[in-house]
Amino acid sequence: MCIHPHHLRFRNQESKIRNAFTLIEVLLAMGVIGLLIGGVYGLANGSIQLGVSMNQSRISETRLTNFTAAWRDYLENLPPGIRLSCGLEKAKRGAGGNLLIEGGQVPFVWTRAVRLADAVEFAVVRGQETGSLKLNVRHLKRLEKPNAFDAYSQIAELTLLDGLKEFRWEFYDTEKKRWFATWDSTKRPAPPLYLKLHFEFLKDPREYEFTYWIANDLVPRTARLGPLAPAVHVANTHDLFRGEGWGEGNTLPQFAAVPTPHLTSPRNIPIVSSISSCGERDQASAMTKA
Amino acid sequence: MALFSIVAVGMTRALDQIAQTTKSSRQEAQVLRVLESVLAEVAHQPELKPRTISFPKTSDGIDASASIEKVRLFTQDKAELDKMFLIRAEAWLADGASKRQLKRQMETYVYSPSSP
Repeated sequence: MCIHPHHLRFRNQESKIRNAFTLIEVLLAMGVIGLLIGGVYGLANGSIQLGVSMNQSRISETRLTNFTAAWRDYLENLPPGIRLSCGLEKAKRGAGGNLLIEGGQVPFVWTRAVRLADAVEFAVVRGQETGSLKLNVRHLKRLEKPNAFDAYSQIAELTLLDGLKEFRWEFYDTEKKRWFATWDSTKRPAPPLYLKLHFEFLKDPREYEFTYWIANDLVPRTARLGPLAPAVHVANTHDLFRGEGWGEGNTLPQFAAVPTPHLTSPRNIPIVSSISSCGERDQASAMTKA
Repeated sequence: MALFSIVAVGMTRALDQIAQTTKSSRQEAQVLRVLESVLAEVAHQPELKPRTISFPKTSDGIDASASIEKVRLFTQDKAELDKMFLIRAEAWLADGASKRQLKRQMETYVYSPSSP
């Protein structure tokens, strides 16, 4: 028996053809690989977009928290004798007019020259985008010879918020027990008890509203730096409690955290504050509770 | 395919968890900001009376309430501290009619000389 070489060649060729993939198999494999690559790309792209949006959200939240903290810190430490005026001139649409605070320490400072400003003005001006507003803080220096147009010259300006859709102020009058959109220091020399900020951004549908208490009865803190500081401190503390049901023989209360009680008039003093989540409560006080 | 599915599901879950964490931290900051406003408004009223105050829901969907209680506090010498009030503010994310998420509480003791 012999095998013809032609047959051998044919058989080898046939087996080679059978071991290869058909066009449909190749197309299917390419389709599956494409799906896998597409899935991986979708996941990667989604995670990148998520990271970017998370980062933007974190930055905007941090800015907002810092902004509100700076306002709270400024307004809750204002000395007496400040003059506050707002909305006395024509304002842009959606804006609540400019807020001028004369006297007291100056907020949002970055150099020594700015720290020495005599007044600060919060102005709501037109932004770069169409229909947008921005909140600027202007540090002002009193003119030696005030003219008919202005009593201050501007020494610095800084943008605090940009891309605003709306920015309004509200002021609470203790006597009338009402909120007002404007405040005229000539008619109401004492500053309001509360200041409320309303604002909204163009690219954010949320409305923000914050309420701040305006302290206006604190003695300037510089009084504590003098040589008589301890005596002033004790005298004021004693006066504070002596007139309110404290007998002569009583000693001063042992507070865990008493705020610096340099007072010129009766006011509410927050003694201890604590934050807790649902169900928990911190008893952060050395006082015994009946 | 099975391996890829496992990896894909794992990655998706991890991304979802990261997004949830970011969202909850943002909401927590919102709740705390509302709490600070509520506490500032209630604690510095000229006259404090024991009562509960409810605040309107914000555009973020955060509800808040505050309670004022008169408290009797004593020093170590057993002397009573008069005109002391406990202000407790609560804020939460209103999810639906009755669900309260991210409920946070802040409290302070206030000495109010002009209160009855």
